[in-house]
Amino acid sequence: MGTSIIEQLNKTRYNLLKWTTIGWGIWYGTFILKDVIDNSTIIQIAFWVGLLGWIIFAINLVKVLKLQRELKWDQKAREALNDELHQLNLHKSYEFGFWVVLSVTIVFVTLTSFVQISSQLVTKIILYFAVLSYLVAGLIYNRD
Amino acid sequence: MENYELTNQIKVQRAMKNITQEELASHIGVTRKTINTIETGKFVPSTILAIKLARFFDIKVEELFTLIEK
Repeated sequence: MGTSIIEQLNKTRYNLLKWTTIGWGIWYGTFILKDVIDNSTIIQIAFWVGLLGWIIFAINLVKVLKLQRELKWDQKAREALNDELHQLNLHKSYEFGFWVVLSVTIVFVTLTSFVQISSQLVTKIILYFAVLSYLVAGLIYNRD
Repeated sequence: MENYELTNQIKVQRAMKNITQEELASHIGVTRKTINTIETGKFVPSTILAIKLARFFDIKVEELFTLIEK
């Protein structure tokens, strides 16, 4: 496999990560918004925006899985794309995600001492930030 | 290890061989970004990768990478 193809695949992977992040941010963000806002107009807008986000997220997730499946048969390209810098960046992204989850959890533990928040909402928000922070960190560490 | 600085001769060796970062990356089996970050000292490669690079340039690892005491 030629160099330009590996660089092209690397760029494709970065773009997929970028759109997956955008999709997740919009979809799950609006999904949470519906739980905290009472205004029916905003909820309706949030539904359509969220649907758009879900479509972006789902399409890109499928593309990521497709790319992974294609790379399964090309060991040289797979190894080059998942080289040690990429592995290090993955670990750093997980680490960043961990600290974000820990921080958000601490914020909620503190908040719930003063106000009552539904456990379902708290779980959704923690999940939202966990995935988002991991994806955003991945984007930052892997940018060219 | 904060008192030490790792420098390398990759850029010099590349110039001598007249190859781009992308071409070197292809030979070693990594991405161009990995070569770039090693070259600029942002990323310290593993021993395996360091040996691969040294072998490619046909020099010793110690000649390619130098540990300098600050």
